[in-house]
This record gives sequence, C-alpha cells and structure tokens, in this order.
Amino acid sequence: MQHDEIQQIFLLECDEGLDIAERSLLACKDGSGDAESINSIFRAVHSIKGGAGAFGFTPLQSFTHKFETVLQQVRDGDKPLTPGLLKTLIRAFDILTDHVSAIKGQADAPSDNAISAELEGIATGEIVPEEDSASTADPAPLPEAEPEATAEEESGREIAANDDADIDFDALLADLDVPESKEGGHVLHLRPTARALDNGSDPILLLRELHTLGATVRTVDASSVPDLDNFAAESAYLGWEIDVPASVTRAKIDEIFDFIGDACDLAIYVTGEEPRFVEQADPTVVKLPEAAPLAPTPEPEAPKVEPAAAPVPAIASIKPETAADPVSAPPAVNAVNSAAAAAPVATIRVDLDRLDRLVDTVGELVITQSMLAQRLSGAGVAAEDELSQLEYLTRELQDCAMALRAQPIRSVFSRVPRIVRELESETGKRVTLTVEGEATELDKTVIERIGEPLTHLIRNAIDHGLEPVEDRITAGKAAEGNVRLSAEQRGGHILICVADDGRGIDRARVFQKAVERKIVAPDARLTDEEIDNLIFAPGFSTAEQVSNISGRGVGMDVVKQAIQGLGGRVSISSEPGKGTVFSLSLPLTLAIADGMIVSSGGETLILPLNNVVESLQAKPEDLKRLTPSQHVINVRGSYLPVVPLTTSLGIGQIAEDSAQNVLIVVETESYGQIAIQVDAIQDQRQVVIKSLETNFRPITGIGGATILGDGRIALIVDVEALAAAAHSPKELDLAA
Amino acid sequence: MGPITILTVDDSPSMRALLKHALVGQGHVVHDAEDGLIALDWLNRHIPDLVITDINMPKMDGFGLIEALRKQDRYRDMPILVLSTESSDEKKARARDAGATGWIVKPFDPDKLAAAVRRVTH
Repeated sequence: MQHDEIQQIFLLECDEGLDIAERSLLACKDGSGDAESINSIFRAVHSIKGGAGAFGFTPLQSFTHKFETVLQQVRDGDKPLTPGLLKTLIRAFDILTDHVSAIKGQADAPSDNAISAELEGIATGEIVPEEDSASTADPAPLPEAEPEATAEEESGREIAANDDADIDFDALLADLDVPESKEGGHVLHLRPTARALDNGSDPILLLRELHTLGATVRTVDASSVPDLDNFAAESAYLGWEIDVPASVTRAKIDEIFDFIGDACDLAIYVTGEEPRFVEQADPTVVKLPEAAPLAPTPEPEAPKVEPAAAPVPAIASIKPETAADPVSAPPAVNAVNSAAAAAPVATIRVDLDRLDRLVDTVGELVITQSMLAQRLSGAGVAAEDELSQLEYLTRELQDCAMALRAQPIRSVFSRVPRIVRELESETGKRVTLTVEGEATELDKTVIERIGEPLTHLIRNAIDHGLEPVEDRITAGKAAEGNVRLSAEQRGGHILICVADDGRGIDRARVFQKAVERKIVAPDARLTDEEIDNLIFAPGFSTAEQVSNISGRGVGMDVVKQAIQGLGGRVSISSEPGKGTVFSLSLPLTLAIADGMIVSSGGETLILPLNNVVESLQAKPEDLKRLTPSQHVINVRGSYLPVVPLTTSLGIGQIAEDSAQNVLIVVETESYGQIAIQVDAIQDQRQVVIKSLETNFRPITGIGGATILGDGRIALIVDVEALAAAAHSPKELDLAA
Repeated sequence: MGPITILTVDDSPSMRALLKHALVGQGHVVHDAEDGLIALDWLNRHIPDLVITDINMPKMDGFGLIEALRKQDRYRDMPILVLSTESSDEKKARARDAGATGWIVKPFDPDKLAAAVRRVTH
C-alpha cells in the first residue's frame, strides 16, 4: 500500500471523525449528551491529530492538539462543560472542519489564531468562556504574554511540555546532528532490579542495543549473585559498568532506557566523571578483556551525577482496576451507550468503479432475465416456477447492488447545523433547527449533488423565510424561528423537506416581480401554486438587494435544475404568515426507473412513471383545436395541451384520426400537466437507464435509453423537455 | 533479529495502515485489530511475538487490553508496546503499571519504531 493510499484512508477517517464529533457536540448542546459524548469527541480529535502528525499536516496537528487539550480537561472532569465552553468547542469544531477541508485541498487553511488563543487560554484557565456570549462572537482575547507564567499555571506548563513531546524534540536534536559538545562519551552504571524482568522486558536487549551502537562493558559486578539454592530465575543480580562512545548522544541513551528506567538503578555520567563502580576490590568483579580504559576527558567542573533518564513518579498507589472489570475505562468516562457513540459498523472500502461495474452488470442481468422470460413464454415453455424464482433472485441481487451505492443522507445533513449557526450570526435571526431522518439512504451520486441545492434552500428559508426577531414577536410568534429539515423514504422516492415557520411567500410581490422581469404577462391569471412556482423561473429573485447569504448570483432556478438533473422534483407549499415548505422528491436510484412502455407511430418509447398522472381514452369531442397543429383537451374542467409524442420528437407519423389514440396525462415541473398522445400502452416495468450522452449523444426530448425484454432498444422520453417544446409558442404569446 | 509476528491494535485505519506499511517493510508479519476486544479475540486464537497497541480506543482501550493479557499465563511475559500521541509521565506510569513493556510516541519515526521493536524482542 502506498503512502498516498494511506493518506486517502486518513482523509476518510477525518470525515468520519468530524461526523462523530459534530453529532456528539450537538447531543451536548441539546442536553442528550453524556460523558461518552465528550469522550467520543476527544477520541475523534485525538485520532485526527495522530494522523495529521503522521502525514505532516502541521497546522492541523497543532490545532487539534490545542483542541484536544481542552477536551481532555472536560473529559477528565477538570473543567465543567458550561454552555459558554460548549460554544467555544463548537466554534473550534467548525475551524477543525475547515482545517480538514484545507488538507484535502478544498479550501485555504483557515485562520485559527483567535480560536487557538481562546482554547489555550481556556486550557490554562486564563480565559473563562462567557456564559451567555452574544451571537456576534467577539474576537477572542489575545493570549497572555509568556513571562506571566507562574507556578500556579501548572497545567499550562504541562501543555508546553506536551507540545515539545509532540514535536519530538529528541528526533529534532538527533536530526541536527550536533555532537554533544565537549562531552566525550558516557559511562553507565546499570543495575537492573528484580522488576526489570516484568512486563516482558529483558535488560539484556538493552545491552544488546548499546552494543550495536558501539558501547563496551567495562566491568560486570557479579557480587550479588547468590548461591544456587537461593537463586531466583526471574530476579536480577548483575550490575554493569558500560562505556558508551561519544557517537551515541545522551538523548539516545535516554530513549533506550526511557520506559524501563525505574526498573533499573541507572546512573549516567560523562566519561571521566564517573565514581568508582565497585567501591572495594572484590574477587567477584570480573574485568572484561574488551573493556579498554578510556582517558578521562578534562572537564573543569566537579563530577556531577546526571539524573537517570525518565524520572518516574511513584506509581505504587495506582493499582489496576478491580478484577471484576477487566475493561477498565479511564476515570470520568462511563461506558454509557448513547446515540453519539453509535457502535461502529464493520465496513470495507471499495473502489467506486468496481461498484458501478457491479451495478451495471446487474442491470444487464435484469434485462437478460426479462428477455429470457419473454423468449420462453413465447416458445410455450412451461418453466414458471424456476422463472419466477430467477426473477425474484435477480431483483434481490439488484436491490443489494443498489444498496451498495446507497449512503445515509447524514453526511449532507450534518453540514446544515453549521450553516444555520453562521446564518444566525449574519442575520441576527434566531433559529431552532430540527433534523429528522438522517439515516435515510440515497444513491451516492444523489448524496454528492444534493448538498448545494439543499444548502441554498436552508439559506433561503432563514434569509427570506424567517422574519427578523422583532417582526416575529409583533406577529405573536416565538422569537426563535423554526427550520425543519427532514428526509424519508416514500414508496420509490426519497422525500426531503425544508420547512420554515416564517412569513410565507408574499404572492403579490412575487407576481409583481415576475411581471417586472417579463416572466409573466401583467394580466395573467395565475393560481397560488403557479405564483409560488414563479420563484423557480430563471432570473427571478425576490431579494430587494442581493444579500450576502442567499443571493450568490444563483436563484432558485438553479436549485430546481439541480434536482431535476437528479431525476427529482421540487414543490412548494406556502401559507402566508405560517411558513413555507420546500419538498424535494428524489429517485432512490439513478440507474433504474419505473417506466410506462408505449407505442407511437410505430416506435416503442418509455415514459417515466413518476411523471404519469393518469391515462385517458380520448373522445374526439374532448379535443379542441386551437391552431391547425395544436389541440387541447378538457380534463375535468381544465384544458391541457395535447402533445402528439412522435411528431413532437420528429420520429414518426401519427394517425390523423385521434379517436383511437390514448392520452397520457403527465405532470411536469415547469409547465404543469400536459397530455401526451400515443397509440397504445404496452406495459409497465422497471427499466435500466442507459445514458445517451455516454453511449451516443444528447437528444432534446430524450432522457436516455433502455433495452427491452425482447432485446430492442427503446428511448426514454424527457417529459420536461417535451412540455417545454409544447409551451414555447405560448410563452412567446405572453411576451408579446 | 529475524522476522516476527506482530499484532497492532489501533482504531484508526490510517494508523493501522501506516504501522503495517512500516513493519512489513521491516520484514515482519503483521496482523491488526481495531480495538481491544477484537484484539483479545484474535489473541485467544493466535500467539504473536509482540503486540503494539494504541491507548485511546472505543470498547476496550489499550490499558484494558494490556491488563487483560497480563492476567493470562501465556501473555505474562510477551512484549507489549504502547503507541500513543500522549507522552506524559503519568500515562507512561499507568501503562507500565498495566503491564506495558515499552512506549512509542505517535507520530512515529519508522526507525524509532524499529528500534523499539528490537528493544523488546529477541
């Protein structure tokens, strides 16, 4: 595995970590958080820090370190999680998100000076988060100057020490390659204690390591070795005096003995300053031949004993947790199951190309299966049981393959709270966001493309939908506006709603604006629904001035286009003074659609079933001629334009006698209902959508193609484009 | 020192991948686990030469894992290295008390990792 690939894993991990952290932060905010919430935030940030260090993302590493320090204090119960502190943590989280975007190359590195200083201040206790800081966050106070540090700032010092440790000072020193000035080598006096053999340690390995670095044993003190009867195999009796050459730095020696330090009596001296290893000449002291005496290095100072590596605090008081609980959790952390600490699901990462190949192949299988069924039934072969079993299995397989591409919408929804927070401070409005159905699954492509339109709808809801606080109070509403974001599966569709309890759409103003923009004629008589839908018209914007928030040069038409591009629809329902609901209806998958198979002018075509409202057998008297080529039909009182399918597409002739024709009423986004005229309805079934753009070239009026059970290719009609073609003369009339 | 079998325990996939990359590059056989419980389960069926474990993990953390292993006779003397971003003496003491053999600070330098492995295995 290459470094790049591992880095890729890390980036995914960052996203997962951010997701967990955000959910836990929000759980803390709404009061459902517990000790495990803080712990899971800590773990996520901690994990990002570890990877950031490993991959050399220094700004991210340094920021996560500061963040983590505060989280650790909260986790360990050193700092209470006040509402003010929680706000700081949420802001720190937002900056962390920006940092992660930066390392992905999606954004510039954020400026984190203010929040960093705040986190550091909180960690040292110099800053106390304001309990009820106003929504307009003041820039954090600057950090206190370093000289202020006194003994009471113990915790601050500790952080500084940790900082050093993270930078890995030893490695830096080693890298600098500065020979330890003037010091010649070192002499070690090493006497492992009985504990040196605990925990799987073996002092001989340390001697071996010193040996490979060029150290030699000067003296072995075997005076303590007992006679055989009293000899304990797991105890230690020898002592060594070791010459370590100057090429081995003090830091290196410390590193070797870092962990075992307290299990040995170890003293490190600069060569020439060591005291006598064994005071009295003892017959059991063995002089080793290779122990060449070294000339003492002249040092002006008196011999000094440097402390042994890694001073270790007394640890006798810290005992393992009770035997009854082998899974000893750190203190202050209860292993409480909470929503925030959802059990990680075992996952496997698969290349998207492979997944798509599977989905494609399964799509072909579905087609082949239905071809086989058709062939067999045509040949009169009675194999119904097996055939229906095969069909069932194929469908099952298809569902499984589709489910592989499905992802919870959580990844999109989780970005919304931050947007809301930002808008709150930009607009001064107060918003309560409710999110429902985060676990609802959508196709990966839909997930990827839904973010932007959804963001726009949220911005729109807060910027245009919700009234300013004063207006709300005047109108007898709660000061806090409500925005509800929800997702649910409904039949073969996913329904996403963005609802606000704001002022509702001002239809008079919308109509007036539409007239000004020449979108409708001044004398047009439109229903409420039609007026509401005007805000989706290209170039429409109700904002008096282009605001920083919603008016980013795109209007609601872009939202609509994006949703339609995903095979979905947008609808609005609005009630003056009560609020507005935008509903997005999205297909479960982009690869398969339910289609109505029709024949027209000798061609077989497919109408997407989600557009179809009803089908009618038209009587001649129902059809009214508007122009020689245009008809309308009266369907229960409303006149719908009749669009002959094949002639509109220019692919065939339609019989002049319409009496035999079937009309299919379809719903379109922009033009309401139209009646499509076809010769006959053949069937209704799922079809695998093949892109014409990919396989051929785009054709106006055709949304794609599919392969029918008998192997023929059928084109899938783009109802929206068909309606647009049918309506364009009318639009010209209005503009005139 | 010849190749040895090492179990690495870390909840971060990228950290596991980095460790594996480094250790396999040094000629060792590497298995990994994503938390203490999974590690324990694996260790009930296999005996490696060395365990390298993270501290902060869900379900069962590194301390819990080490303590559980030291209670088993066959793991009483097996070297266990802790790999952690933390480097406070307090944590190290806690790890030593739990039964850790050594400590590596994350992010690790592959050479230092190799040295630490050598320092605890024959």
